[in-house]
Formats: sequence, structure tokens, C-alpha cells
Amino acid sequence: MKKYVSDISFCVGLALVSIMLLVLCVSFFWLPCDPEAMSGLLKLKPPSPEHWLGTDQFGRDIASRIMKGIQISFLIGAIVVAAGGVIGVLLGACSGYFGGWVDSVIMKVIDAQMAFPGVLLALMLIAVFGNGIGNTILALSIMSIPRFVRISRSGFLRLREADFVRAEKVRGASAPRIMFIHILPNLMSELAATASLTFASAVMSEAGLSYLGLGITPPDPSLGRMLSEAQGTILRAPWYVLIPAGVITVLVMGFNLLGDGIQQVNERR
Amino acid sequence: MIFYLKKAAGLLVTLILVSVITFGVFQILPGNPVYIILGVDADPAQAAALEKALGLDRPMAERYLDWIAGLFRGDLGMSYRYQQPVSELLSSALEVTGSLAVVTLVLTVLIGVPVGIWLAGHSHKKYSVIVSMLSQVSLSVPGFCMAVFLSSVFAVSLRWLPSMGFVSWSDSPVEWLRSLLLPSLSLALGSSSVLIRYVKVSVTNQQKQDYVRTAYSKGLKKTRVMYGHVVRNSLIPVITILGMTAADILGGSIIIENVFSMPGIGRLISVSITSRDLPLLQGLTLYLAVIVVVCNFVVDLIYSVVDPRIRLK
Amino acid sequence: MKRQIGIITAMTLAMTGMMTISAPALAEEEEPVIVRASIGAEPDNLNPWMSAATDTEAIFLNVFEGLVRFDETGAVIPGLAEEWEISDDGLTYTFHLRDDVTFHNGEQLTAEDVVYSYETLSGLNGEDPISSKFATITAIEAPDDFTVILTLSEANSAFLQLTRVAVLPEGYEEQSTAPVGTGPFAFVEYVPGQKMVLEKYEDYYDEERMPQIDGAEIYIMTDESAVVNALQSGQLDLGTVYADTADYVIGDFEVYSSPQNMVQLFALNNSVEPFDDVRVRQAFNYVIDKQQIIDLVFSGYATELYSNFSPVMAVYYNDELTDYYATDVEKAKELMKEAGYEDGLEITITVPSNYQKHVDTAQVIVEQLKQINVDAEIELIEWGTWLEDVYTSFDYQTTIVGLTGKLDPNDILARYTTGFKRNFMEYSNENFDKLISDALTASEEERVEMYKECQKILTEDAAAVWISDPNQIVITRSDLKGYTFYPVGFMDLSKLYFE
Repeated sequence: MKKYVSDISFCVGLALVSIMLLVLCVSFFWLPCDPEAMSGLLKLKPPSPEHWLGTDQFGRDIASRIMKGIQISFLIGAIVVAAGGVIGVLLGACSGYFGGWVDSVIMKVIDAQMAFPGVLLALMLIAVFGNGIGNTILALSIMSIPRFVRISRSGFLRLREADFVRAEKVRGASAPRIMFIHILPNLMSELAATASLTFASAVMSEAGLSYLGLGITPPDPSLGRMLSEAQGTILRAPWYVLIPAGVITVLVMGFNLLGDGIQQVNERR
Repeated sequence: MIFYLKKAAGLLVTLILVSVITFGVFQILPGNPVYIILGVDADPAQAAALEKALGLDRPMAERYLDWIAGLFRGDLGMSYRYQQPVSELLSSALEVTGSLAVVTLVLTVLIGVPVGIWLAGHSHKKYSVIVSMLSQVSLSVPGFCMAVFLSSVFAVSLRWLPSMGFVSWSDSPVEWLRSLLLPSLSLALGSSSVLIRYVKVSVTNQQKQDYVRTAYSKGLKKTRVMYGHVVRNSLIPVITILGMTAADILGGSIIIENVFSMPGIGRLISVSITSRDLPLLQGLTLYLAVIVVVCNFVVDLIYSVVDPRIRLK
Repeated sequence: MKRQIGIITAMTLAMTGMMTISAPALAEEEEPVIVRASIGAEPDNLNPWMSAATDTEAIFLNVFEGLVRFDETGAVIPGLAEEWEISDDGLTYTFHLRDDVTFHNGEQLTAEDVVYSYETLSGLNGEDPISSKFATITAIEAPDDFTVILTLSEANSAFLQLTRVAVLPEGYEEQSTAPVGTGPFAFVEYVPGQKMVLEKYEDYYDEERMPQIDGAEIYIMTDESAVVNALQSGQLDLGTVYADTADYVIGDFEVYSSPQNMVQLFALNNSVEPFDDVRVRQAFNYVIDKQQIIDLVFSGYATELYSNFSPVMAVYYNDELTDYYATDVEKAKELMKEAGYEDGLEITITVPSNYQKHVDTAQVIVEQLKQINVDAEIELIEWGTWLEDVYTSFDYQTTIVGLTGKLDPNDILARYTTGFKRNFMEYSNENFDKLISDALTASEEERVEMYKECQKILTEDAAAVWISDPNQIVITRSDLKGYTFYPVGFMDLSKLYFE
């Protein structure tokens, strides 16, 4: 742990993520205003004591919407990392541990997916399944799988010939047992770094999809959609666009730095 | 050579797979291209006439097989939406996206390499922390946010550069570059941040190598060692990153092209999906696959020039 | 390191050099006068017979002309035909053509071109018809080079304005790629995804309508903020935008705004529960505050509607319906109670995701419906899916969409007749159907009353919640004058001039 603390990327990343987590926790119990209440009189008002971050084009309180939006970002990030991670690690583990035709089939499929830009994939998925939080998560999860497969595959490839694995094999341990009880824990820090980076890119991709009018359905406040709504009013209320952009940047940067930090410490070891 | 043939064969399998999947997806997707083109005011007789003109009155499977047959003759078919040959649409979009990629790569190198080298040489100074933090920030700002910001400052407020459109190189090289600067910069800031990190790590590692010590002990000057040996040997990761960036941009920067109203590949991708333009989308996926191969191939080629040892393998 | 700094400095200098050459090249005297304008969508087809999109027509009305044209009020005026006679039974139309009209390819317009055009459109040439509107034509004759007689199977008072359809040269096959018309502007080129270029047609026959500019570049810009940016950076002379954006431009610009004869409506599927109950539809009409939508979504730049009709069509507009359902939440609650939905209900609003204004409107409606315990969920779908699911198979509960303006009230209202293929409201009322079909053969005064009655029936039945006619907003450079609004989408380039 000491090693992590001495790494500046890790510390800054952790600090940023902690701030966001704090906001997230507060938002479950308390919001400054109703995030969906509209008012024609309060259209695009600059920050004031009643509305700390001002109001949007419908006179809704931006601070409350940002807090709600952070909930959704965390929800998307967490599920994408969990789903993409579980599937990716399973595939990567099989691919790396068994090798042979299992490996080549899995890698072919992953390569096929990698050969196409993520946005094309997401556009097609959303065209088929429609907008909405569930489908956004589905699309982003599928997009995140290859990353986990590659990392875990190389880990399993490296460790399957290690002494402790041979010893377990000799003792007659089953393949799943060796894979997930013995090898997997050794890859945890690498996977943690990947998870952190995936989280960051999920947040960013959601913003991109929402900007294109896909992604989360209104009136759910998503940071990405807020950004695209704010963009339309940039000449009249320039501060509005800075808020979601800033929060997205802090979230992405926090998880990026955290991931980098873990990676750097691993490399130093 | 055999390596490339193998790679190409693998890609062909991928390609067929993707093509079939795309076809399948379009079977499920609701929406008729004719009505998407004509909109809510379509006249039934007119729609029928257009359907016939586009050949949409034939079953989908038959049209797909026709398309594949045409492929072997080098014919990518006609786009429903634009009623122009797909190959023409692709090549004019490629000019836009290709130009965007070239300028972005140049900017990425111009920002990434010097800053990376500088950081490697000054890794313990305080301001180097600030520079690396800055590059982290530019990596985390969403690309289109950067684009909106740059265009509102340099195009809208200062009126230095155009905020939209694309001018062909053959019309005016100066206008060409001017029309590309802002979109390229929005893309290059992110990719140069990645490059900075890799260059920094790579140069730092090279500096620890024995040959560097030997060079110093021979009495060579620091700059000579740096640019004569270290930087050259650190270029491999640069090429890898550039290859990835090129493939990324050539694959269509839908959002950036949207912000700057550029008629590139990204635009075609979203149009082809929303207007159910199957021939166009099939043509695009083909193009995307080719881009991946070509980028990989070029990267490999440059490797062998930079590092002759690779050729021997 | 020094060398590198040198390179960077050189690059920076080069870049700043380029930047300071600066954008708007000032028009010198020999330079042609070009207007750079924007439209919001790609043209659907360059061949006017194969095109149905309003945006496309707005541009191509400069290139093509029909036997008749229309003026700023929507009234029919002579076009390629100088004058015409209609027989007393309303079945025979005789058009006398001008003898000084040439197509952009130099060939003279004669009766043969008109005959070719109407035969192709109506299918009388033995092929499939291209337009079902002309199905009632039974014979087309050309007694001499400049006279055409059309015979109809039944009288139709809306027929004359249909003859504004483009007349195209006989035997010319390239309309879809290099269109040729008779208008004041000739087509030059179309770059997909980027622009269309038109140039002044020097041999245009009408001196009064002779363009004062030499040409126009029409940029296709789907992104609203891109239009504002391009205006601000001096890359556009004229931009068409949505309401609130108009407030954001700063500098030397003129903003023109006019209702555009569009009907933005919150459509309720009359055939499914709970909207098969007129009380629920009326309750929705009472609870939805149109003015709030106009303020929040359109920054006030829109006109409230009370039926499926915009006041722009002044002659036929029924102004007695104003505030028929003045916002009254208590009354709405009462109606919901009577209909048995006291405890509220859950509905889905299906909105095409590419129309931001409709998505925004949906958000406001969701809030307003909460007052009568209606829990509405927004479902965003692609435009293509909307056209199929909602517009074709009526598989939806409620939706929000805008219906673009037509010159003839029949084209606007016939949408609500029973069995009409695009009656996606699934509205049905015998009296209404009868009035619509009778109006086609009635005298002009009778027609006016009948269409007013139709509007009243729709409102009483609360067939939908009609929200507003959003203004069309045009922003021009302040030295560009002459922009004119029409009751249908038409960017009349011939009237534009620089001061």
C-alpha cells in the first residue's frame, strides 16, 4: 500500500474519485432541489444562492441534475466494468490457459470486434435495441470486453507455466480451480488498473453517444446529454457547458490517473 | 510475406463475418429506406417509383447476393440515400477524413515528441509534474468539448479560422490546411497526451542502456547522444501510437466531423445506419477493414526502416 | 534541442501567418456575388418528381417551375402558363403557355414538355404513375405548341394548385444527377454531405424575377450550433435556425421570424386505451400548457395552435377556437376521474431522437402530465423506426412530431379522414369525412366554411393536442436584404440582394 501512496498519479486519482464518490453518497440522501422541476421564469439563470450552479434551458436546477447525473455515470461505469470484466476475464482466462483452438477462436472474434470502430458498433446496437440506459450499458459493455480479454489472456499465458501452477496440477486440482483460485488473484492489480481505465472510457463514451442524441433517454439527467444540451446555449450561458464538461473531465481523469498509478506501481515491482 | 498473407486471410474471414452480421441486423431493423429518404410527405405512387428505381422491390437476400457478386467485379453498388456509386462517395469522404488524419498525425507528433523528450530529460523538476498533469487533463476532456471550445474561440470570437466545411487540397492548399486546423487540433490534443507518455517512458528507458553510457564515455556531447542515438531508438512506440491514431481517425471521427460539418467517413457511417442504406454501410465496413490492414502494414514497414533488426526476423 | 525549437518556431510562424491571411476574402468588383446559405437536411432527390422533403423543395423551387406558381400569401399566380381557363363543370383545364421560356439546357419549353410531364406523373404514358395526386387526369392534349388541355374524371377544387408541380424537358434522363428546369437559377453541382451550388440563369424569361445575385452556395448543416458558428465566423451569409438560437447570435445580423404553417402536435393514438376515451384526450388538452412549452422550448418564437391548422392560412383558419381548452388542471382532473383514471396512469411518449425540439417538448409534457398523476416515459427512437412503427403501422401510444405546411387546406386536414393511409392518429368521424370530401367540389365560399367546421370538429373531439407552429427563423448578414417568407418552405433566392 505504501508503494501506492508514494505514487503521485495514484494519489491525485484517488482524491478525485473520492470527491466524486462523496458527492454520489450525498446525492442518495439529499438534493438541493427537485432535478426535474421546470420553471419558465428561471430559464438559464447564472449561479445564485438558491441555485448554486444556475439553471438550465428549462429552468431546472443544474446542481441537482449534476448530482443525479453522477449517480447515472457511476451506475453505467460500474455495470459496464462488472459485465465487461466478468465476460472479458472468463474469455481471456480460457484463451490464455487452454491455448490451442480455444485461443484462436476467441481471439478471432475479439479481433473482428476490434477491427471496427466502437462508435459504429454502438450505433448499430442502439439502432437495433433503441435508446435507453439499459441499451447504452449493453453497448458499452460489449465494447469493453476486448480490453479485459487481452489483459487477462496475457496474464494467464504468462502464469500457466509458473511453478505454483504446475504444483497444483500435479496435486490434481481442476482447471477452473487453478484458473480462478490460484492464477486470478495474481492478476488482480493489473485487472484493477484495466477496470479503472475502462470505467473512465465508459463515462466518456456515454457522453459521446448522448451528444449524438443516442444514449440515455431524457428527462434522466446524464452528464453527456447535459453537455449536448448546454452546447446549444453556449453563446448565451457559457458557464453551463463548463459544469458537465468539468465533472466529466474530473471523473475521467480521476479513474485514468488511478489506473495509471496502479499500472506504474506494478511495473516498478 | 507469408505472415501478411495469413493476416489477410484472417481478415477476410472477419470481413465475411461482419458483412453477414450487418446484413442480419438490417433484416431486423424496422424502417424502409424509401420512406426515410422521402419523409412524412411521401406520395405512395412516388414511393413505389423510387423503390423500383433503387431496386428495393426485389427481396433483400437477392440484393445482398447481387452486391457480393458485384464486389468481385470491383463494383460496390449504388447508395440508396445518395443514389450515387458507393465507391465515389467513399473516395470523396476519404479525401476529407484522410486529410484530417494526416494533419492530426503531424500535430500529434509536433506536440507529443518534443514534450515527451523534454519530460524525460527533466523528470524530477516540479514543472514537469505540471506538464504531465496538463497532458492528463487534455486526455480527459471529451473530444467534442475541446472542438466546441476551440471553434468558439478561434472561429467564432477571433474569426481566425473557419468553423465548418472542408476545402480540397486541389482547390487551395492554404484553405485546405485552414479548414483542417481546428478539427485536427481537437483530435491531436488527446492523442498527443498518449504519445507524450510513451515517448517519455521510452526515452527514459533508452537513457539507461549501456550504449548511452559508452557514447558518453567516448566524450560525445549530450545533444549528440540524445538526438543521434536515444531519440532514434525511442521511435518504435511513437510509430505504434501513430498507427493506432491513424486507424482511429480513418475509422471516422463521427463527433468531430459533426461539430465541424465535414463530409467525411464518420458522417457516411451515421447516415448509412440511420437511412438503412445497406450498400453504403457494407462498402464502409469493407473500407474500415482495409484501413486496419493497411495501417498495420505501414506500421510494420516503418518499423523495419527505423529498426533494421526487425527486418531480419 | 535548439534545432527542434527552430522547427517549432517556424511551424508556429507559418500557422500564425496562415491565420492572419484571415477568412472572408472581400468581394472585389469582378467577383461574382454569391450568397452562402444553410439548410438543415440533405436533399432527398435532385429530381423534383422524386422528392418529397420540404427542405429540398425550399431550394429547388428556385430551379424548377410549374404551370402555376404561388406568391407570398400562398395565392396561385401564373407561372409557365400565362393564363388558364377552367370549364364550368370543373373537369377541363386549358393552360396557355408562355412562348419565351427556355430550359437551362437551352431548349425551348413547348406544350410537348408539359404533356410529357403530366403523362409521366399520372401514368398515362403506360408506365407506373409517379404521383397519385394526378390519378384523376384522364386525358392530356396539346392542340398547338403553347396550349395544353387537361381533362379530369372528377371535379377537384384543389387541383389548380397541384399544377405547380415542376415541368421537366421531354427526353432528358439525367434529372437525378444533373437536374434541368426553367427557374431563375440553374443547378451547378451537389457535393453529398456538403453543399449544393446554383447559378443565375442568364436567359430567364421574367425580367421582374431576374436574380440580383450571381449564384448561391447552399451548405447542408444538420447541427444547429454549427450554423450559428458559421454565421459568426463569416462563413455563411444566411442561416435558417430554430427559435432560441436566434437570441445567441451577436453582431451585425438581421433576424427574420415568421410562422411557417407547421403543426407541431402531441398525437394520441385514438384507437388504443386510454385514448379511445374522448374525456382522457380532453383532459390532456386541459392540462398541457402550450404557452409554457413555447416559452421553454421555443423561447417564445412560436404560435399557439388550437386545431390542426396554423393561422398563417388566414382565409381558412377558424379563429373561434382560441383557448377552447384553456389550461385548467382542475377540469382535467375531473375528466380523468369521470373516465376512471383518477389514480393516474402510465403512458409512453415515442419521440424521434433526431428532432431535439420534439425531445425537449416531450420533457416539458412529462412534467405537466404529473399534475394529473400521469406517469409518462419518453422513448427515443430513430427517425427510420418512427416512420415504420408510428407513421406506417400505428404501433404507438403517443408521439410528438411536426407536420409541415401545405398550400391547400385539403392536404392539411385530409390526414384525419377515416382510412387515410397516414392517419396515424387513427381518428375517425363520419361528419368530418363527409365535409372533407364535399369540400373538394364545393364553391370557394362554401369550402372556407367547411374547412372551418372541420377544424372545429377536430378540436371538439380532441383528436390530438396541437401545440404550436414554431417560427421559422432566418438570420442574415445585415447587408443582405430581401428575404421573403412564404406559407410553405421556399427560400426565394431571386429576391435576395446585397446593399
